[in-house]
Amino acid sequence: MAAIEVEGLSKSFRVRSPAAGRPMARLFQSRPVIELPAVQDISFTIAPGERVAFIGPNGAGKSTTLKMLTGILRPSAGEANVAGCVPWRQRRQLARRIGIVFGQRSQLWYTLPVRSSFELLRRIYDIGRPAHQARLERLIASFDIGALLDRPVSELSLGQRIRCEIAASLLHGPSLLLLDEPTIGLDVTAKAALRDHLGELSRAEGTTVLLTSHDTGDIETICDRVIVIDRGRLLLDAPLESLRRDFLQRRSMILVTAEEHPRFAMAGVAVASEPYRLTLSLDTALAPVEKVVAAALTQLSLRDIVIENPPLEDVIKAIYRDGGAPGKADHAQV
Amino acid sequence: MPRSDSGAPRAFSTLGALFAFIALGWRRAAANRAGILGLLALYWLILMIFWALWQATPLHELRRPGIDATRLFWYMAVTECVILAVGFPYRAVEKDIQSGEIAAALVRPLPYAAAILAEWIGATGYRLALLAVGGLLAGIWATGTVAIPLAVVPALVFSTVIATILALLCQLQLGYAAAWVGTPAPLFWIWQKLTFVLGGLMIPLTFYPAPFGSLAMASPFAAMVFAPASFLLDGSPRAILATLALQLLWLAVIGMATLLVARAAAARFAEQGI
Repeated sequence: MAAIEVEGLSKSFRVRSPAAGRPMARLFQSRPVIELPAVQDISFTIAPGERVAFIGPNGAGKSTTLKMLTGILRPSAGEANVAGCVPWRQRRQLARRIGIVFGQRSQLWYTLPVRSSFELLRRIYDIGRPAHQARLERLIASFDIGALLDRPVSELSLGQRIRCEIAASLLHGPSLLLLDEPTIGLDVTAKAALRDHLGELSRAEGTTVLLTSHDTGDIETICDRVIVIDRGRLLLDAPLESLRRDFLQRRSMILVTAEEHPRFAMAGVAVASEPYRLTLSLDTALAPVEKVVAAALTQLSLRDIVIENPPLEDVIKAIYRDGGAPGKADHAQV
Repeated sequence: MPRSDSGAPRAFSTLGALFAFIALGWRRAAANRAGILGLLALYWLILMIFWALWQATPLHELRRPGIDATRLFWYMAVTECVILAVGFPYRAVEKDIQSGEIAAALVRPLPYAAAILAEWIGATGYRLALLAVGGLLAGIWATGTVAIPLAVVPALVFSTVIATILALLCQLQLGYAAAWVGTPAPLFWIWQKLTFVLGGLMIPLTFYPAPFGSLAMASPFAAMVFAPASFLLDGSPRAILATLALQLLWLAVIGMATLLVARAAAARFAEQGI
């Protein structure tokens, strides 16, 4: 049985059109209701143990889809089966089988120490004490949160809180983990640590992961399949390798140099020069990052290096440009 | 019978979780020492002002046998104790809805309304216990006596618990109103003023002229405030039974209404998003 099965899922929100005219006149104005499509006819299936990135720019419909999959939003049309439940009909039953992290919202109790939040969750999910203790110890080790347990959630940094949030969502041993923008607002180090912890744990336990993000770095570290959504429609469903090959092969590298007029040349690298600075655009198929860095270190006197993933917007532009790249993806559905 | 992960029947595990929330509310209220001290100071101030007022009022002109300043002091000690213990927790639900934090609570196997109500019951229970002790000490200091017949104490405690639960259920509905009106503060103000007036916060409803007294006594506001304090005015078994029956009736009605409001809000979130 699939971990998630979605067929023709759509969601439109009914909103009143904005009032116009003078303030007094607005009071008596009848405003027509308009349908605002957020998700339109998306279908996909995720097998148990798969780690899937559900990506798209802001307002693409990622969170709306995730909320439908958790049962807190009812779709306008379509069907879904998540961990054996129809989410919007069996929300509480489903809650025992899945873990959810909303990156911008906390499921922990703000004023309580992390340990007390975990204890409350133990009572909510009714986990026996020995099983809870064993699970907790494993999660403490996986997410390196031992030192945080006795601190109130309000005193944690965002990165520390998110690590605790993910551990909390896994306490009841769900077979499916849904993560909504888990790395949003985190600095580079915290992002890298979280991705490593999450990737390792999901691989070790075989947990199915569906992760929404607009950070291409999350996708590459954690996931092995990518579903791209834009303006509510499914744009691409492909293995990570094919996305990496077709759309994530370009990287930007900024080199800050000691030389005022630096020069650099290498096959597969486009160079833009400024005083004390070079901006390189790499085709990683021709010029892998490590080779470019090695060449730069020999040719230049470097003060700093910044490597940037391509912004998701550029990836989506490239997908549109290639017509969704159905031929390039191994089993793309567009 | 469905069983949970720990092997206990699901109903027991839900009860266990609710007790954990009651304990959480109690602990949180106890941790707020400045708030509790402020509440006690306010309680004493109100009681002392009205004690002075009742002493300066020619109550004998009311021609109501047994009504004197001492009895009115103890009446108000009970009504104010209920009102101050409950506070205005509806704002927690309002905040959860406005910030979207309610989404995290809705994806748990425990109903949000039950969890938050349990937490409020714990916090209100703590404040109620502390204010009761404070009121008792203030009453003995001011009036030199305890004008609560021992025979009515069990009914008084039971009735006070029902009164606070009724008030908390109303506050839960007020909090949920944020799903429709955005800011439920104006609704709260109306509800609060009705509670003060129709609940007989400062003056017993038996003092109200007909037909307002009878109307107020039949209202849910009387069940939230007047009911427990009324035992200090009329402690006959008949009056106690009639009052408790009316309170339980309102508990069933308001409990059902709260359930409907919670379901309607969840349906709205499911359609319109959070």
